[in-house]
Amino acid sequence: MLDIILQAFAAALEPMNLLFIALGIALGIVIGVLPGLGSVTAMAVLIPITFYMSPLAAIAFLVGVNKGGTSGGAIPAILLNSPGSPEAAATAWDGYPMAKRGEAFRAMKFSLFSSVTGDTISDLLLIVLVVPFAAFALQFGPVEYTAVLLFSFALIAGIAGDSPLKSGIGIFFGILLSTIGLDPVASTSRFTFGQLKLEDGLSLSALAIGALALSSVVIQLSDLITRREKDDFASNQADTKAGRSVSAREFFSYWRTLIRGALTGSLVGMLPGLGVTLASFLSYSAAKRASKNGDNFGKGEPEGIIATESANSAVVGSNLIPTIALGIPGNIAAALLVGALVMHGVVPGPFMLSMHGELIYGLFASMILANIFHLIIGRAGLSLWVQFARYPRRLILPPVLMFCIFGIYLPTQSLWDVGVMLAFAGLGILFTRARISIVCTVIGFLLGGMFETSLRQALLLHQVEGISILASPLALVFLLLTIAVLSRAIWRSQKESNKSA
Amino acid sequence: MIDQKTCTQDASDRFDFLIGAITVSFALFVIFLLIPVGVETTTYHSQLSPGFFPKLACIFIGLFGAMLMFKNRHWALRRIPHNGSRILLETLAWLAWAIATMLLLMYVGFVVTAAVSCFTGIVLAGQRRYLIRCALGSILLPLALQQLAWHAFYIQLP
Repeated sequence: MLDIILQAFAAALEPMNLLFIALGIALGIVIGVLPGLGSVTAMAVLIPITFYMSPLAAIAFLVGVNKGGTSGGAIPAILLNSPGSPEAAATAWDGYPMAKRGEAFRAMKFSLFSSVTGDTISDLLLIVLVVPFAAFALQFGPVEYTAVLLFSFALIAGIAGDSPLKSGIGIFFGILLSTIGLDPVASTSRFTFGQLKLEDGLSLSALAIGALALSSVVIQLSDLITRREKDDFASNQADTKAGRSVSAREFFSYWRTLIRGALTGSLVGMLPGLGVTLASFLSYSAAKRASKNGDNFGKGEPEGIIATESANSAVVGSNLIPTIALGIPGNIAAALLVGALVMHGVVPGPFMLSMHGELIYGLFASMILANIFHLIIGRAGLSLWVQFARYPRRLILPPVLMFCIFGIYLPTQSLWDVGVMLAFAGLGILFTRARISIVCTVIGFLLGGMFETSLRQALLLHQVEGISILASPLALVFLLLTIAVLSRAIWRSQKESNKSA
Repeated sequence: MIDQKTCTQDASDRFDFLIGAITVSFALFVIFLLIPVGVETTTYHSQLSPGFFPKLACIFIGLFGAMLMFKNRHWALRRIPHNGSRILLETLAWLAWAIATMLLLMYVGFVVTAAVSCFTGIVLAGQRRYLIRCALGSILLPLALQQLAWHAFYIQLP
């Protein structure tokens, strides 16, 4: 065993492998910054290039792209309030207010450091717990998934926006949108009205970029045009060292949030399908409830950024647990990695660790090394990205529309998706101004398909085998938690309205 | 100061009542009109109908909307000015911009559309100096993106 680990580290430390890891991270960050082009698109585009690499270099390169892309999405979220991907939406809640009051550099540092820390914790967990945790993941059937998703919806409704009722409307509107296309069981059309383009449903990236990133940019531009906001973002930026720096002591004073975020991300990541976005919102919610500065969340609290970024980066490592142990990809990024593994003659599944142990442990070693590169390259890049905060908003915001069109058109070459993005930017404007959380709609859409499938499977199990929700202790716990979270949200909302009355 | 704050709160509550009413109407419209027309039914009896889940989502939307209306029922008949019309106008202005962008993309292509939209945005947002540099930047950036798409990914932008 020790021999294999040492050999794996030796293979991972080969100069070509290190070069590809560094290249993957740099490309991932740059692509992650562009709205619409997240880590998944970057991986999909770059997979054919890896055909000419050794299996270890190829997988390490793609893991680097995934790591860089996941943290890169936080940069536009902080600088422009325009998250490059849905998982960075919660980063914008605290990152943008921090940037607005002149702490853009500090916010980006918090984001990068927590991303790397969360990722490292998750990678270590992956190495130690890959086999036993995979068995735990198998405990999750449709009943448990339904309960977990209900719990997540309740949590998100409680933290997003100013009214749980409006957030509930947002979530179920997103779920309704997710039903457009073919029915997952009967394969009949729903709301397609004869349009073939609608049979696959609406594109997630077009909807998310339109509703989250583009709508935020349009709102900021509209406020500038109508003089509701002053263009003082650039002049506010701190020039003193104290206003830009984050000391190790300050960063690690949030160690509880960091570890909680990394564990939340790792736990969500190892359950196939739940994904990065859910991890970041669950972690944000948990941090808000646990923190003594909970009231400052959403107003520029570094803890909010740390909670989100440590969780969403932790998913990158842990979603490989079901991939390696069971051959079940945890999310789209893991599915693309499976594709790359197959391309290099490695069949993912329970025997992968015994048959290709050297490659898998080499991958683990590369992931640890990638975190060091991520820190170095990411930190060097921050000095470049922060320059964008020094230009007036009126020059920085208008080109975002063209980047959004570019980002959405490139993967599918479809003008239809561009139209969907522009339409959902309109919905984003409407919802944001009406104070209905558009983030809830995007999350409802993102998880709606899975919620429908698991609910229908759970009902079918109940019908055929008589399995009820009460038979599963895990599901029961999550359902009780859902009731507790909803009761608390209603009680708080009632208390606030009594206070304002 | 307190009066102004109370006034804003009242307007917001009145607006929330209207949002609730619109939401309930939307849910009823989808349940009774859109689902029967837009969702194909099957004869496969052991499964739930394909319309079940959209209906369930709409029931919850309607329920939350009704609760929002109930919560703000005291403002139902009060004529307090609110932001609704301004928000609608802003959204319509964006939709007009979006339609123009789509038409330009279809008929004149990405470079011209992006350049026009970028430069117009910069000027509308209040930039009054260095306009020639801004115009040059607005043309060069989409050109660079177009070249990148072609040379790096072999994709021709519209």
